[in-house]
Amino acid sequence: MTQSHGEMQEIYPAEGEQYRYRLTEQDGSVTFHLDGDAAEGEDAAISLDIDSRETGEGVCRTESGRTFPFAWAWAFRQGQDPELHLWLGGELYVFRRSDPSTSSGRRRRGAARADASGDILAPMPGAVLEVLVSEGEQVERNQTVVVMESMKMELLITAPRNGVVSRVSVQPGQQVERGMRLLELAPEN
Amino acid sequence: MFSKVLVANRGEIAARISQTLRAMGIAPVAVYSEPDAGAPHVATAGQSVALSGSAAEETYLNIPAIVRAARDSGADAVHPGYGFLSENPEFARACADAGLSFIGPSPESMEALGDKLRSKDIAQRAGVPVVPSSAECLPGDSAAGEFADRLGFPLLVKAAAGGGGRGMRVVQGRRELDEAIESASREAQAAFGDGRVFLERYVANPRHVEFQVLADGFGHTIHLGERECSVQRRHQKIVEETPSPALTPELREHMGAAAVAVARAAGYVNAGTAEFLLDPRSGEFYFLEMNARLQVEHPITEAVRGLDMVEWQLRIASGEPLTLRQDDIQPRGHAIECRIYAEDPYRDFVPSTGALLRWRPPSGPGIRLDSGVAEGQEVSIYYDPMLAKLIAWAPRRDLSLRRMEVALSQFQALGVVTNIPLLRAVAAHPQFRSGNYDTGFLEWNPAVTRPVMSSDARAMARALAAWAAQQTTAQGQQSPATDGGRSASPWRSAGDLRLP
Repeated sequence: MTQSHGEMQEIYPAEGEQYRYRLTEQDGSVTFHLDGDAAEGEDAAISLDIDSRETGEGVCRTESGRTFPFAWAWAFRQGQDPELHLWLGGELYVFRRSDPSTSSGRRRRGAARADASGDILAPMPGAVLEVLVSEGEQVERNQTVVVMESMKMELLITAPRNGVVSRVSVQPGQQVERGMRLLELAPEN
Repeated sequence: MFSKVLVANRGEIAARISQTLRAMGIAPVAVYSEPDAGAPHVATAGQSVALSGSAAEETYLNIPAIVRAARDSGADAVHPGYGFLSENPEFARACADAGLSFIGPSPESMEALGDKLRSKDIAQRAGVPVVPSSAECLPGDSAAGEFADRLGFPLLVKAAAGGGGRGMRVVQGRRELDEAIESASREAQAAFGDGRVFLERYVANPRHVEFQVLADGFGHTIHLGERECSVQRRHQKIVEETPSPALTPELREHMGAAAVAVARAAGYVNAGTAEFLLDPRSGEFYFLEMNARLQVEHPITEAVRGLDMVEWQLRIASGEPLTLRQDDIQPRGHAIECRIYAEDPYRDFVPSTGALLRWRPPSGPGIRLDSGVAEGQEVSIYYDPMLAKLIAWAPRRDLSLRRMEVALSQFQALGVVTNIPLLRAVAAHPQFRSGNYDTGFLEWNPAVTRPVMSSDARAMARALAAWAAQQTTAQGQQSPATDGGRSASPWRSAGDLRLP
């Protein structure tokens, strides 16, 4: 049995919401669960038997025994995220992965780790877009302190705890390596 | 008969003409623009000539280049297909001057009939009723306003040359007039190389019914019945059927006789189509225009009449007599055609481009596909977005509509957005099924241009998309076995960004 999860967005025929899902797969049987807000008020779990002998096409069977042929392909357009095109029941559906590592132009929030010395470190290589605090400033836990850009995505660096900024080590436009110090928080009292 | 024929066109019609040529033992020669180098009409022709450039003006509308291609390839005739140069008398003349037979009417009758203004004169003199219209008018012409006032609003601005809904605008009032004339003229210039336009009374919600005519060079003219073409978007047909549900046997006889009368009055030779507006309430009909070429929707006539229109075009052009009599060719059954366009029916029919990632047309009893594209091909911005035509035939109308609906539901196309769901919704629509519809069909039934998604279908689509996305990465490679979402591939899993 394998399990996986991810996040996708409906693009066509209607621009729909993003949805988070979990997939459980065993011997060709796939159970699909909607997670998060999108799951509310809907029958969020579907089980399908999927028979796909060739990449890009298959037949799925529902629990009630109905079968549906389907087909899929990735579409690439310059300057855009790849789209997953799905043909099902005579209709075209288009989706986009909206996992953080694949999306562009969207912000993700992540708590940075402060090590024992109080340093806030860059979680991944990238560029500093904004420094939102200055030395001597009081910050609260989860307050955004730095905005970084990494892999076409904006990353909001938040304070791991309450404290006072004792040093700002980077400036906007600067390239940083993973693990480099961005800010230093004064030791807790 | 000819031994080698150059097909001066692209897409499905070029492929379809080559098919008949080969069946008759005639060698086809294709021409192609740079974006069309890998297109099926080239691959299937056996011989082809490149036209340098991409835009239609440089390639499929380029008379010297096409005539040169025909001569250099040793062709003895040219088939123009539809659109592009098919109704351009200059092209027919240039072919004749180069010693090539032009498969279509003479330049003179093309000039007379291809010009919508002159063809109306001819029809009136032949005793056939026409829709009131103005003389030719140019952008900025002060006479246009007077014409408009005399005709009343709303009215249509139409291109004197060409057809296919291009160079046509509905004008609601005087203020919109100049702009409509200008943009219609620009569009007509780009599409047909002739920017002349005129104004015509707008007949609200008529049916659009046309008659296929065949005439040989010995004065023998017949019609092959009608095609009902009332399902249109932006004045362009998307679904056609024959017989028309609107015609009684008496009306069919009257309209058929009118079509033949117009063709005779113009001294017309070869295949042509007389278009009429029909007021279904009064049964009155008006001659609109004569299309001096093979029509996009000719396959439905072929289906119910059991003949090959292109074959007859070739026979007539090579000087053979038309051996069919009017009474020989009774229609059998019912046929419907759906035009598959790369356009978004849910977003105002905006054209869609891109690589055709999957193209698996349906097949089955009574199903015919005339296609101009192949899987993997790029659908470009340069030409008309029609990809293919799907035709269904059955002994009865209700059965051919069902065949069409089923075939459309099996038509797999990925990579570009197509109008297939709309066509399916039309084929299944109670009003269309009833046969009681007119050119306002899409306006009366806006629901067919909105996506319908049951929650079941949507949930299944979401589930399959999630599953499919795990099977192949966005790079198109097979994913490694799923490993609980901790794969190294950035395209896989990781619901949340994990920070160190």
